[in-house]
Amino acid sequence: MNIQKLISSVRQSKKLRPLNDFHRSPRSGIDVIDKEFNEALSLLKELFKQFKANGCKIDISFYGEVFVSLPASLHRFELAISNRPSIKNAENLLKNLESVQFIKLDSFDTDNTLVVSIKTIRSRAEWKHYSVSEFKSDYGLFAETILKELRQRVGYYSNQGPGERTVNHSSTEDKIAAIHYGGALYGSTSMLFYLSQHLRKVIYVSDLSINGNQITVNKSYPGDETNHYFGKKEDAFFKKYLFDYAAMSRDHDNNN
Amino acid sequence: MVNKNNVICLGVNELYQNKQIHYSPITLPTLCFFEFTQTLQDTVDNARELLFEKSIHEITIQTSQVNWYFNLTNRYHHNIQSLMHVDAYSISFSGMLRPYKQPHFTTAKISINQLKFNQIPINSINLDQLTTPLAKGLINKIKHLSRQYSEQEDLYYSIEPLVSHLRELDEKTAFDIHLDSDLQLGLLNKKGNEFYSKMETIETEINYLSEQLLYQIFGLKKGDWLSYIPANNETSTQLQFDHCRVYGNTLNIIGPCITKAGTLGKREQYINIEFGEEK
Repeated sequence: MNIQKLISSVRQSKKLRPLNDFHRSPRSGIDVIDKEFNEALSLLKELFKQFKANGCKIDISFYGEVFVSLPASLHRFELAISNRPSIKNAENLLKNLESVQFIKLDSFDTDNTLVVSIKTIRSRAEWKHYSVSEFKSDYGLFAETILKELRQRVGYYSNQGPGERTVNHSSTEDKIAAIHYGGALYGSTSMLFYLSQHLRKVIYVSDLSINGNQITVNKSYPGDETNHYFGKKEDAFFKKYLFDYAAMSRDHDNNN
Repeated sequence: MVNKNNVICLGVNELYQNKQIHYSPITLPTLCFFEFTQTLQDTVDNARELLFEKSIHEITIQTSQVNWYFNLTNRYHHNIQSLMHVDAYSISFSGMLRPYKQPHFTTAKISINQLKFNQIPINSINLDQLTTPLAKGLINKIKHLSRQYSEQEDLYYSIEPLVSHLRELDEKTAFDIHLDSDLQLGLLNKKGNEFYSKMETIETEINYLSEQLLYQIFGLKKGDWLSYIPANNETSTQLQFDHCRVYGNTLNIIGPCITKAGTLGKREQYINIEFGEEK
Protein backbone atom coordinates (compact mmCIF):
# COMPACT_ATOMS: atom_id res chain seq x y z
CA MET A 1 0.00 0.00 0.00
CA ASN A 2 1.43 3.38 -0.84
CA ILE A 3 2.14 5.97 1.80
CA GLN A 4 -0.66 8.34 0.81
CA LYS A 5 -3.19 5.52 1.26
CA LEU A 6 -1.78 4.64 4.68
CA ILE A 7 -2.04 8.25 5.79
CA SER A 8 -5.59 8.61 4.53
CA SER A 9 -6.67 5.48 6.42
CA VAL A 10 -5.23 7.01 9.59
CA ARG A 11 -7.24 10.16 8.82
CA GLN A 12 -10.37 8.08 8.16
CA SER A 13 -10.17 6.26 11.47
CA LYS A 14 -10.00 9.52 13.47
CA LYS A 15 -13.79 9.54 13.87
CA LEU A 16 -13.62 6.18 15.67
CA ARG A 17 -11.12 7.37 18.27
CA PRO A 18 -13.72 8.65 20.85
CA LEU A 19 -14.46 4.97 21.50
CA ASN A 20 -11.08 4.78 23.27
CA ASP A 21 -12.32 7.03 26.08
CA PHE A 22 -14.71 4.24 27.07
CA HIS A 23 -12.26 1.40 26.46
CA ARG A 24 -10.72 -0.64 29.26
CA SER A 25 -7.58 -1.25 27.17
CA PRO A 26 -7.58 1.66 24.72
CA ARG A 27 -6.04 1.09 21.29
CA SER A 28 -2.89 2.96 20.41
CA GLY A 29 -2.59 5.30 17.43
CA ILE A 30 -2.73 9.02 16.85
CA ASP A 31 -4.31 10.96 19.74
CA VAL A 32 -3.42 14.63 19.58
CA ILE A 33 -5.21 17.99 19.85
CA ASP A 34 -7.24 18.72 16.71
CA LYS A 35 -5.02 21.59 15.67
CA GLU A 36 -1.93 19.37 15.88
CA PHE A 37 -3.47 16.51 13.92
CA ASN A 38 -2.13 17.57 10.52
CA GLU A 39 1.29 18.18 11.99
CA ALA A 40 1.24 14.66 13.45
CA LEU A 41 0.20 13.22 10.07
CA SER A 42 3.02 14.94 8.20
CA LEU A 43 5.46 13.64 10.79
CA LEU A 44 3.99 10.16 10.32
CA LYS A 45 4.35 10.51 6.55
CA GLU A 46 8.04 11.38 6.83
CA LEU A 47 8.64 8.44 9.19
CA PHE A 48 6.77 6.09 6.82
CA LYS A 49 9.02 7.20 3.93
CA GLN A 50 12.11 6.28 5.94
CA PHE A 51 10.61 2.99 7.13
CA LYS A 52 9.64 2.03 3.58
CA ALA A 53 13.15 2.90 2.36
CA ASN A 54 14.43 0.42 4.95
CA GLY A 55 12.09 -2.29 3.68
CA CYS A 56 9.67 -2.25 6.64
CA LYS A 57 6.08 -3.39 6.34
CA ILE A 58 3.44 -0.93 7.57
CA ASP A 59 -0.21 -1.70 8.39
CA ILE A 60 -3.00 0.55 9.59
CA SER A 61 -5.90 -1.06 11.43
CA PHE A 62 -9.59 -0.20 11.20
CA TYR A 63 -9.27 1.70 14.52
CA GLY A 64 -6.24 3.65 13.30
CA GLU A 65 -3.46 1.74 15.01
CA VAL A 66 -0.09 1.86 13.25
CA PHE A 67 1.88 -1.41 12.98
CA VAL A 68 5.44 -1.61 11.73
CA SER A 69 7.50 -4.75 11.15
CA LEU A 70 11.12 -5.09 10.12
CA PRO A 71 12.00 -6.95 6.91
CA ALA A 72 12.48 -10.69 7.46
CA SER A 73 10.98 -10.55 10.95
CA LEU A 74 7.53 -11.54 12.10
CA HIS A 75 7.61 -9.32 15.19
CA ARG A 76 5.31 -6.38 14.91
CA PHE A 77 5.51 -3.04 16.67
CA GLU A 78 2.81 -0.54 17.58
CA LEU A 79 3.55 3.11 16.93
CA ALA A 80 1.62 5.88 18.69
CA ILE A 81 1.72 9.67 18.51
CA SER A 82 0.17 11.58 21.39
CA ASN A 83 0.60 14.44 23.86
CA ARG A 84 2.28 13.06 26.95
CA PRO A 85 3.61 14.91 29.97
CA SER A 86 7.07 13.87 31.05
CA ILE A 87 5.96 13.07 34.59
CA LYS A 88 7.46 9.76 35.56
CA ASN A 89 5.25 8.76 38.39
CA ALA A 90 1.60 9.79 38.50
CA GLU A 91 1.02 7.50 41.49
CA ASN A 92 3.37 9.63 43.60
CA LEU A 93 1.53 12.81 42.66
CA LEU A 94 -1.79 11.17 43.54
CA LYS A 95 -0.43 10.13 46.92
CA ASN A 96 0.76 13.67 47.65
CA LEU A 97 -2.60 15.08 46.59
CA GLU A 98 -4.33 13.09 49.33
CA SER A 99 -3.16 15.62 51.92
CA VAL A 100 -3.02 18.89 49.94
CA GLN A 101 -5.41 20.70 47.62
CA PHE A 102 -2.86 21.16 44.83
CA ILE A 103 0.80 20.74 43.90
CA LYS A 104 2.94 23.22 42.00
CA LEU A 105 5.05 21.66 39.28
CA ASP A 106 7.67 22.73 36.81
CA SER A 107 6.09 23.51 33.46
CA PHE A 108 8.67 21.20 31.88
CA ASP A 109 7.09 18.18 33.63
CA THR A 110 3.68 18.71 32.12
CA ASP A 111 4.53 20.10 28.70
CA ASN A 112 1.96 19.28 26.08
CA THR A 113 4.47 18.12 23.47
CA LEU A 114 4.16 15.55 20.73
CA VAL A 115 5.64 12.19 21.64
CA VAL A 116 6.20 9.19 19.38
CA SER A 117 5.98 5.90 21.27
CA ILE A 118 6.74 2.34 20.22
CA LYS A 119 6.00 -1.05 21.74
CA THR A 120 6.42 -4.64 20.60
CA ILE A 121 3.20 -6.61 20.28
CA ARG A 122 4.14 -9.09 22.95
CA SER A 123 2.92 -9.67 26.47
CA ARG A 124 4.54 -7.46 29.13
CA ALA A 125 6.32 -5.33 26.50
CA GLU A 126 6.91 -1.73 27.57
CA TRP A 127 6.38 1.50 25.66
CA LYS A 128 9.39 3.59 24.72
CA HIS A 129 8.80 7.31 24.22
CA TYR A 130 10.62 9.81 22.00
CA SER A 131 9.93 13.52 22.23
CA VAL A 132 9.47 14.91 18.70
CA SER A 133 11.08 18.25 19.51
CA GLU A 134 14.39 16.57 20.35
CA PHE A 135 14.92 15.61 16.71
CA LYS A 136 14.24 19.06 15.27
CA SER A 137 12.64 17.79 12.03
CA ASP A 138 15.58 15.54 11.20
CA TYR A 139 13.30 12.72 10.11
CA GLY A 140 16.16 10.56 8.84
CA LEU A 141 17.80 10.55 12.24
CA PHE A 142 14.45 10.09 13.99
CA ALA A 143 13.47 7.06 11.89
CA GLU A 144 16.98 5.60 12.25
CA THR A 145 16.79 5.95 16.07
CA ILE A 146 13.45 4.15 16.11
CA LEU A 147 14.63 1.42 13.71
CA LYS A 148 17.76 0.88 15.81
CA GLU A 149 15.56 0.29 18.86
CA LEU A 150 13.35 -2.12 16.88
CA ARG A 151 16.34 -4.11 15.59
CA GLN A 152 17.79 -4.28 19.08
CA ARG A 153 14.51 -5.55 20.52
CA VAL A 154 14.09 -8.17 17.80
CA GLY A 155 17.65 -9.32 18.54
CA TYR A 156 16.69 -10.03 22.16
CA TYR A 157 13.67 -12.14 21.33
CA SER A 158 14.47 -15.83 21.14
CA ASN A 159 11.42 -17.02 19.22
CA GLN A 160 10.55 -16.14 15.66
CA GLY A 161 7.53 -14.10 16.60
CA PRO A 162 3.86 -14.75 16.64
CA GLY A 163 3.46 -15.51 12.95
CA GLU A 164 1.05 -13.74 10.62
CA ARG A 165 -1.88 -12.27 12.46
CA THR A 166 -4.69 -10.26 11.10
CA VAL A 167 -4.52 -6.57 11.80
CA ASN A 168 -8.24 -6.12 12.22
CA HIS A 169 -10.68 -7.61 14.63
CA SER A 170 -13.22 -6.37 17.17
CA SER A 171 -12.53 -7.78 20.61
CA THR A 172 -15.07 -8.16 23.41
CA GLU A 173 -13.55 -5.03 24.97
CA ASP A 174 -14.18 -3.10 21.72
CA LYS A 175 -17.81 -4.15 21.77
CA ILE A 176 -18.23 -3.20 25.43
CA ALA A 177 -16.58 0.17 24.74
CA ALA A 178 -18.95 0.70 21.80
CA ILE A 179 -21.94 -0.04 24.04
CA HIS A 180 -20.75 2.45 26.70
CA TYR A 181 -20.01 5.10 24.09
CA GLY A 182 -23.36 4.51 22.38
CA GLY A 183 -25.11 4.81 25.75
CA ALA A 184 -23.43 8.16 26.36
CA LEU A 185 -24.19 9.31 22.81
CA TYR A 186 -27.89 8.41 22.64
CA GLY A 187 -28.77 9.35 26.22
CA SER A 188 -30.83 7.90 29.02
CA THR A 189 -33.82 6.82 26.95
CA SER A 190 -31.81 4.59 24.63
CA MET A 191 -31.42 0.84 24.75
CA LEU A 192 -27.61 1.13 24.70
CA PHE A 193 -27.72 3.41 27.76
CA TYR A 194 -29.68 0.78 29.66
CA LEU A 195 -27.30 -1.98 28.60
CA SER A 196 -24.28 0.19 29.44
CA GLN A 197 -25.59 0.74 32.98
CA HIS A 198 -26.29 -2.98 33.26
CA LEU A 199 -22.77 -3.94 32.12
CA ARG A 200 -21.20 -1.67 34.78
CA LYS A 201 -22.61 -4.00 37.44
CA VAL A 202 -21.36 -7.17 35.78
CA ILE A 203 -18.01 -8.22 37.20
CA TYR A 204 -16.83 -10.38 34.34
CA VAL A 205 -18.03 -10.75 30.77
CA SER A 206 -16.64 -13.90 29.17
CA ASP A 207 -18.12 -13.26 25.76
CA LEU A 208 -20.31 -10.71 24.07
CA SER A 209 -21.71 -11.11 20.59
CA ILE A 210 -23.69 -8.67 18.51
CA ASN A 211 -25.75 -10.30 15.79
CA GLY A 212 -28.58 -9.17 13.60
CA ASN A 213 -30.80 -7.47 16.12
CA GLN A 214 -29.60 -8.85 19.42
CA ILE A 215 -26.67 -8.59 21.80
CA THR A 216 -25.84 -11.72 23.81
CA VAL A 217 -23.84 -11.22 26.99
CA ASN A 218 -22.16 -14.30 28.48
CA LYS A 219 -21.16 -13.74 32.07
CA SER A 220 -18.88 -15.64 34.45
CA TYR A 221 -20.24 -19.17 34.00
CA PRO A 222 -21.76 -21.04 31.03
CA GLY A 223 -25.48 -20.64 30.70
CA ASP A 224 -25.50 -17.32 32.54
CA GLU A 225 -26.36 -15.24 29.53
CA THR A 226 -28.71 -12.39 28.75
CA ASN A 227 -30.10 -11.21 25.44
CA HIS A 228 -30.76 -7.60 24.52
CA TYR A 229 -32.60 -6.59 21.38
CA PHE A 230 -31.81 -3.49 19.38
CA GLY A 231 -33.20 -1.56 16.42
CA LYS A 232 -32.06 0.25 13.30
CA LYS A 233 -30.37 3.17 15.06
CA GLU A 234 -28.08 0.84 17.01
CA ASP A 235 -27.51 -1.24 13.89
CA ALA A 236 -26.17 1.81 12.04
CA PHE A 237 -24.07 2.73 15.07
CA PHE A 238 -22.42 -0.70 15.26
CA LYS A 239 -21.77 -0.66 11.53
CA LYS A 240 -19.78 2.50 12.01
CA TYR A 241 -17.84 1.53 15.11
CA LEU A 242 -17.23 -2.23 14.96
CA PHE A 243 -14.90 -3.67 12.35
CA ASP A 244 -16.43 -7.03 11.55
CA TYR A 245 -19.99 -6.12 12.47
CA ALA A 246 -21.28 -6.17 8.90
CA ALA A 247 -19.63 -9.57 8.36
CA MET A 248 -21.16 -10.88 11.59
CA SER A 249 -24.62 -9.79 10.53
CA ARG A 250 -24.22 -11.42 7.13
CA ASP A 251 -23.29 -14.73 8.75
CA HIS A 252 -26.32 -14.43 10.93
CA ASP A 253 -28.56 -13.82 7.93
CA ASN A 254 -27.10 -16.80 6.10
CA ASN A 255 -27.74 -19.07 9.04
CA ASN A 256 -31.41 -18.28 8.99
CA MET B 1 10.31 34.68 30.05
CA VAL B 2 9.87 31.11 31.15
CA ASN B 3 7.61 30.95 34.14
CA LYS B 4 8.87 28.13 36.24
CA ASN B 5 6.90 26.44 38.89
CA ASN B 6 3.47 27.69 38.02
CA VAL B 7 1.89 24.56 36.63
CA ILE B 8 -0.76 23.42 39.04
CA CYS B 9 -1.53 19.74 39.49
CA LEU B 10 -4.93 18.76 40.90
CA GLY B 11 -6.69 15.54 41.77
CA VAL B 12 -9.97 14.72 40.03
CA ASN B 13 -13.21 13.49 41.60
CA GLU B 14 -16.39 12.19 40.15
CA LEU B 15 -19.24 14.70 40.05
CA TYR B 16 -22.77 13.42 40.55
CA GLN B 17 -25.64 15.57 39.45
CA ASN B 18 -27.86 12.90 38.05
CA LYS B 19 -28.55 9.86 40.21
CA GLN B 20 -29.70 7.80 37.24
CA ILE B 21 -26.36 7.91 35.47
CA HIS B 22 -23.36 6.03 36.75
CA TYR B 23 -20.32 7.15 34.83
CA SER B 24 -17.75 4.56 33.98
CA PRO B 25 -14.54 4.84 36.03
CA ILE B 26 -12.65 4.66 32.72
CA THR B 27 -14.01 8.09 31.83
CA LEU B 28 -12.53 9.68 34.97
CA PRO B 29 -9.20 11.47 34.44
CA THR B 30 -6.39 10.81 36.91
CA LEU B 31 -4.93 14.30 37.17
CA CYS B 32 -5.64 17.82 35.98
CA PHE B 33 -2.84 20.19 34.95
CA PHE B 34 -3.07 23.84 34.12
CA GLU B 35 -0.61 26.66 33.85
CA PHE B 36 -1.49 29.74 35.87
CA THR B 37 -0.66 32.34 33.25
CA GLN B 38 -1.24 36.08 33.31
CA THR B 39 -4.14 35.58 30.84
CA LEU B 40 -5.80 33.11 33.17
CA GLN B 41 -5.29 35.44 36.12
CA ASP B 42 -6.92 38.27 34.16
CA THR B 43 -9.89 36.05 33.28
CA VAL B 44 -10.29 35.15 36.95
CA ASP B 45 -10.02 38.81 38.02
CA ASN B 46 -12.61 39.90 35.46
CA ALA B 47 -14.97 37.15 36.54
CA ARG B 48 -14.57 38.21 40.17
CA GLU B 49 -15.36 41.83 39.28
CA LEU B 50 -18.57 40.63 37.67
CA LEU B 51 -19.44 38.52 40.72
CA PHE B 52 -19.51 41.55 42.98
CA GLU B 53 -21.03 43.91 40.49
CA LYS B 54 -24.06 41.68 39.98
CA SER B 55 -24.04 39.87 43.34
CA ILE B 56 -23.55 36.45 41.77
CA HIS B 57 -22.27 33.49 43.75
CA GLU B 58 -20.32 31.66 41.07
CA ILE B 59 -19.37 32.15 37.43
CA THR B 60 -18.66 29.27 35.06
CA ILE B 61 -16.51 29.88 31.99
CA GLN B 62 -15.60 27.49 29.20
CA THR B 63 -11.83 27.15 28.98
CA SER B 64 -9.23 25.31 26.92
CA GLN B 65 -6.31 25.94 29.22
CA VAL B 66 -6.48 22.71 31.21
CA ASN B 67 -5.08 19.30 30.37
CA TRP B 68 -6.59 16.10 31.66
CA TYR B 69 -4.13 13.28 32.22
CA PHE B 70 -5.23 9.64 32.24
CA ASN B 71 -3.05 7.09 34.01
CA LEU B 72 -4.53 4.23 31.97
CA THR B 73 -3.11 5.55 28.71
CA ASN B 74 -0.29 7.65 30.22
CA ARG B 75 -1.28 10.62 28.09
CA TYR B 76 -3.56 13.64 27.82
CA HIS B 77 -7.06 13.06 26.44
CA HIS B 78 -8.45 15.81 24.26
CA ASN B 79 -12.13 14.91 23.78
CA ILE B 80 -12.94 16.89 26.86
CA GLN B 81 -14.86 20.11 27.24
CA SER B 82 -13.54 21.96 30.28
CA LEU B 83 -15.23 24.53 32.49
CA MET B 84 -13.69 26.88 35.03
CA HIS B 85 -15.73 27.81 38.11
CA VAL B 86 -14.88 31.10 39.79
CA ASP B 87 -16.33 32.23 43.12
CA ALA B 88 -15.22 34.99 45.49
CA TYR B 89 -12.34 33.01 46.99
CA SER B 90 -11.46 30.10 44.77
CA ILE B 91 -11.47 28.46 41.36
CA SER B 92 -12.04 24.86 40.32
CA PHE B 93 -12.34 23.00 37.03
CA SER B 94 -14.84 20.49 35.78
CA GLY B 95 -15.11 18.60 32.53
CA MET B 96 -17.10 16.26 30.34
CA LEU B 97 -16.16 13.75 27.69
CA ARG B 98 -17.50 14.47 24.23
CA PRO B 99 -20.90 12.79 24.04
CA TYR B 100 -21.86 13.86 27.56
CA LYS B 101 -23.79 17.10 27.98
CA GLN B 102 -23.13 17.66 31.69
CA PRO B 103 -19.82 17.84 33.56
CA HIS B 104 -19.16 14.52 35.28
CA PHE B 105 -15.88 15.13 37.03
CA THR B 106 -14.41 18.02 38.95
CA THR B 107 -11.19 19.08 40.66
CA ALA B 108 -10.65 20.32 44.20
CA LYS B 109 -11.02 24.06 44.82
CA ILE B 110 -7.92 26.24 44.94
CA SER B 111 -7.78 29.54 46.77
CA ILE B 112 -7.14 32.35 44.29
CA ASN B 113 -4.81 34.15 46.73
CA GLN B 114 -2.59 31.07 46.97
CA LEU B 115 -2.22 30.95 43.19
CA LYS B 116 -0.99 34.46 42.48
CA PHE B 117 2.60 34.85 41.33
CA ASN B 118 3.31 38.05 43.14
CA GLN B 119 2.67 39.02 46.67
CA ILE B 120 -1.01 39.53 47.25
CA PRO B 121 -1.84 43.24 47.17
CA ILE B 122 -3.11 44.63 50.44
CA ASN B 123 -5.82 47.24 50.04
CA SER B 124 -6.11 50.08 52.46
CA ILE B 125 -9.28 51.88 53.46
CA ASN B 126 -9.44 55.61 53.00
CA LEU B 127 -12.26 57.01 55.11
CA ASP B 128 -12.37 60.24 53.08
CA GLN B 129 -14.09 58.30 50.31
CA LEU B 130 -17.12 57.97 52.58
CA THR B 131 -17.97 61.61 51.87
CA THR B 132 -18.77 61.07 48.18
CA PRO B 133 -22.47 61.42 47.27
CA LEU B 134 -22.75 57.75 46.31
CA ALA B 135 -21.31 56.65 49.62
CA LYS B 136 -23.55 59.04 51.52
CA GLY B 137 -26.61 57.69 49.72
CA LEU B 138 -25.71 54.11 50.54
CA ILE B 139 -24.88 54.97 54.14
CA ASN B 140 -28.21 56.72 54.58
CA LYS B 141 -30.03 53.72 53.22
CA ILE B 142 -28.11 51.40 55.55
CA LYS B 143 -28.78 53.71 58.53
CA HIS B 144 -32.44 53.86 57.68
CA LEU B 145 -32.67 50.08 57.47
CA SER B 146 -30.64 49.76 60.63
CA ARG B 147 -33.15 51.95 62.47
CA GLN B 148 -36.02 49.87 61.13
CA TYR B 149 -34.20 46.79 62.28
CA SER B 150 -33.84 48.00 65.83
CA GLU B 151 -37.51 49.00 65.92
CA GLN B 152 -38.52 45.50 64.85
CA GLU B 153 -36.04 44.06 67.30
CA ASP B 154 -37.56 46.07 70.18
CA LEU B 155 -41.05 44.91 69.25
CA TYR B 156 -40.00 41.32 68.93
CA TYR B 157 -38.20 41.19 72.26
CA SER B 158 -41.03 42.96 74.08
CA ILE B 159 -43.56 40.28 73.13
CA GLU B 160 -41.11 37.38 73.15
CA PRO B 161 -41.24 36.77 76.98
CA LEU B 162 -45.04 36.96 76.88
CA VAL B 163 -45.28 34.41 74.13
CA SER B 164 -42.89 32.07 75.82
CA HIS B 165 -44.80 32.36 79.12
CA LEU B 166 -48.10 31.75 77.44
CA ARG B 167 -46.65 28.67 75.82
CA GLU B 168 -45.77 27.40 79.30
CA LEU B 169 -49.38 27.47 80.55
CA ASP B 170 -50.72 23.98 80.72
CA GLU B 171 -53.99 23.08 79.11
CA LYS B 172 -55.92 22.67 82.36
CA THR B 173 -55.04 26.13 83.70
CA ALA B 174 -55.78 27.72 80.37
CA PHE B 175 -59.18 26.00 80.36
CA ASP B 176 -59.99 26.86 84.00
CA ILE B 177 -59.35 30.56 83.59
CA HIS B 178 -61.37 30.53 80.34
CA LEU B 179 -58.42 31.71 78.27
CA ASP B 180 -59.15 31.07 74.66
CA SER B 181 -55.71 29.69 74.21
CA ASP B 182 -55.95 29.17 70.46
CA LEU B 183 -56.87 32.74 69.72
CA GLN B 184 -54.53 34.55 72.11
CA LEU B 185 -51.50 32.36 71.70
CA GLY B 186 -51.99 32.08 67.98
CA LEU B 187 -52.17 35.80 67.51
CA LEU B 188 -49.11 36.58 69.58
CA ASN B 189 -47.15 33.76 68.05
CA LYS B 190 -48.05 34.96 64.58
CA LYS B 191 -46.97 38.51 65.41
CA GLY B 192 -43.73 37.26 66.87
CA ASN B 193 -42.94 35.25 63.75
CA GLU B 194 -43.82 38.19 61.55
CA PHE B 195 -41.43 40.49 63.37
CA TYR B 196 -38.72 37.89 63.24
CA SER B 197 -38.96 37.27 59.51
CA LYS B 198 -39.06 41.01 58.88
CA MET B 199 -35.86 41.36 60.91
CA GLU B 200 -34.23 38.70 58.77
CA THR B 201 -35.28 40.42 55.54
CA ILE B 202 -33.88 43.73 56.71
CA GLU B 203 -30.66 42.06 57.82
CA THR B 204 -30.12 40.48 54.40
CA GLU B 205 -30.80 43.83 52.76
CA ILE B 206 -28.31 45.57 55.07
CA ASN B 207 -25.65 42.94 54.36
CA TYR B 208 -26.19 43.33 50.63
CA LEU B 209 -25.97 47.12 50.85
CA SER B 210 -22.86 47.09 53.01
CA GLU B 211 -21.12 44.66 50.62
CA GLN B 212 -22.07 47.01 47.78
CA LEU B 213 -20.79 49.97 49.79
CA LEU B 214 -17.41 48.29 50.34
CA TYR B 215 -17.21 47.24 46.69
CA GLN B 216 -18.34 50.49 45.08
CA ILE B 217 -16.59 52.93 47.41
CA PHE B 218 -13.41 51.11 48.42
CA GLY B 219 -13.28 48.52 45.62
CA LEU B 220 -13.18 45.71 48.17
CA LYS B 221 -14.24 42.19 47.25
CA LYS B 222 -14.63 39.13 49.44
CA GLY B 223 -11.30 37.32 49.59
CA ASP B 224 -9.31 40.57 49.23
CA TRP B 225 -6.61 41.37 51.75
CA LEU B 226 -6.89 44.70 53.51
CA SER B 227 -5.24 46.77 56.18
CA TYR B 228 -6.67 49.60 58.26
CA ILE B 229 -5.28 52.01 60.83
CA PRO B 230 -8.00 53.40 63.11
CA ALA B 231 -7.82 57.15 63.76
CA ASN B 232 -7.19 56.79 67.49
CA ASN B 233 -4.72 53.95 67.25
CA GLU B 234 -1.23 53.44 65.91
CA THR B 235 -1.32 49.71 65.13
CA SER B 236 -2.83 48.54 61.88
CA THR B 237 -5.20 45.64 61.49
CA GLN B 238 -4.70 43.27 58.54
CA LEU B 239 -7.23 40.67 57.48
CA GLN B 240 -8.80 38.82 54.58
CA PHE B 241 -12.30 40.14 53.93
CA ASP B 242 -14.69 37.31 54.71
CA HIS B 243 -17.96 38.96 55.69
CA CYS B 244 -19.31 42.20 57.06
CA ARG B 245 -22.01 43.22 59.52
CA VAL B 246 -23.69 46.45 60.63
CA TYR B 247 -24.34 47.30 64.29
CA GLY B 248 -26.05 50.64 64.69
CA ASN B 249 -23.67 53.16 63.21
CA THR B 250 -20.71 50.83 62.84
CA LEU B 251 -19.75 48.61 59.94
CA ASN B 252 -17.65 45.60 60.97
CA ILE B 253 -15.44 43.84 58.44
CA ILE B 254 -14.65 40.38 59.70
CA GLY B 255 -12.17 37.77 58.49
CA PRO B 256 -9.07 35.72 59.33
CA CYS B 257 -5.98 37.78 60.21
CA ILE B 258 -2.89 38.04 58.05
CA THR B 259 0.29 37.10 59.90
CA LYS B 260 3.55 39.03 59.68
CA ALA B 261 4.92 36.25 57.45
CA GLY B 262 2.23 37.12 54.91
CA THR B 263 0.05 34.06 55.34
CA LEU B 264 -3.48 33.58 56.62
CA GLY B 265 -3.74 33.10 60.36
CA LYS B 266 -6.41 31.28 62.33
CA ARG B 267 -7.58 34.14 64.55
CA GLU B 268 -10.50 36.31 63.47
CA GLN B 269 -9.93 40.03 63.15
CA TYR B 270 -12.33 42.95 63.01
CA ILE B 271 -12.16 46.32 61.35
CA ASN B 272 -14.74 48.80 62.61
CA ILE B 273 -15.78 51.70 60.44
CA GLU B 274 -17.89 54.41 62.05
CA PHE B 275 -20.47 56.08 59.83
CA GLY B 276 -20.66 59.10 62.09
CA GLU B 277 -23.81 60.89 63.23
CA GLU B 278 -26.17 62.51 60.82
CA LYS B 279 -26.41 66.26 60.72
